[in-house]
Amino acid sequence: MTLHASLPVGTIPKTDGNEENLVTESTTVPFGLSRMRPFPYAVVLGSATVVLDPKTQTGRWLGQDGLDITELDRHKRSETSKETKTKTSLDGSADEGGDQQGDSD
Amino acid sequence: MTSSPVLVVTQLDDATADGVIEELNRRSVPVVRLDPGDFPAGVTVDARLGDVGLAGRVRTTTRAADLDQVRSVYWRRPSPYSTPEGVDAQDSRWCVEQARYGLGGLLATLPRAHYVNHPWRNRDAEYKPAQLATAARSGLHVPPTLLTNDPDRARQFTHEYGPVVYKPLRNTDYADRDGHGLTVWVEEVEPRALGAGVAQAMHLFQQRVTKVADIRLTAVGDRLFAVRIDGSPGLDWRRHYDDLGYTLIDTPSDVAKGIRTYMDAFDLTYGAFDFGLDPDGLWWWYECNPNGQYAWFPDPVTSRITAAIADELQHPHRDTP
Repeated sequence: MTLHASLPVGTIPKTDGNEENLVTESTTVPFGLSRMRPFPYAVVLGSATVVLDPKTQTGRWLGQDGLDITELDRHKRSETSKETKTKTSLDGSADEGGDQQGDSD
Repeated sequence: MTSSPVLVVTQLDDATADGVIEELNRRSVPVVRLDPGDFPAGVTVDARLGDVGLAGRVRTTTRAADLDQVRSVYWRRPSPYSTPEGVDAQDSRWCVEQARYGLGGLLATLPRAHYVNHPWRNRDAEYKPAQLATAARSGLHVPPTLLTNDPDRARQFTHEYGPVVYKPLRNTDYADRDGHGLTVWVEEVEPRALGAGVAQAMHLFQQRVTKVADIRLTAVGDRLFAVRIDGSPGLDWRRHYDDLGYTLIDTPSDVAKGIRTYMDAFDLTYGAFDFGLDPDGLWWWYECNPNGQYAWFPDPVTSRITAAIADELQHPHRDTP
């Protein structure tokens, strides 16, 4: 790991699991990737299932006990890293429009 | 028109779309919710094209819509196209592309539908260089910005316009080795950090706006909901939700005019615009997310935006002169 010390600011050794690369070739990391930071927090709540209510066409949020989750908890749950967020770019998923799930349509 | 449904294109897990659908239900507007990711198992298509144009049906497991009867489309957060069980990777990619260009093509071509927004217009409007150029042409104030992979130019820009910030051209999923999501927050750039790494990718640098507050303006048709955001201890308010205060404010007429021009240029009905408010009261345009979130605002704001979106979907021609 002494490799790190000899590299200029903004670079880290290439770590693709290939030992040969690690030793012989330290790749300059794209500047933008050196700016990657964690999300501020990610509250993890108990698992919930969303099922479609055929009558209302809205999601029904069910807890592990199979009972409906209240409106308040649903919004709280929407702030976790596991589920759709109503916030913008909160935690772990990019908030980009048509493409939200890697679907460019 | 009363029987023609609103098609809501989104994944099952979407509390924001739920809010709009609940509003449409209160107004007795029929809704068909469809997730393209449920195709082919949970979505069946029968579309006919010929001299008469596009006709036919799309069916989900719970509802059906005549393709030429859909009055409007709310394009939110569809999940990725999926493939049948037991298909290998190459065949799977083939199936996905057939679905994208087939089902996706149909959903983007509904003859009578008003789109909020059209997915292809969203895609066009997601390119930052196009956003920046269009905003400037629309009369909005755009901070000096540089796109480059040339480290020397990047350093020169910081000397000329510093302090500057770096922004990615697109946000995509990125995780550390433990699977924890990472992202790039708007932070100042130290000139000495601009080395060979700049040459490795396309980078966007922008003069940091001296701001007293942020503004998120949600535009729905002609209605503008500008919210002043105070209390962010850092440059990027998205990092500090717990500290933020929100106030609905009026939009200056020159900004409103710029937004109208911008939305017309991209043919958008909906847009989430970010501005920095400087000490002189000038609104500095940062970006417009054509499918940005809004439902985290305090309820009086969220419910007004929800109602405005429901209006657009219910009365597709309300903006038509």
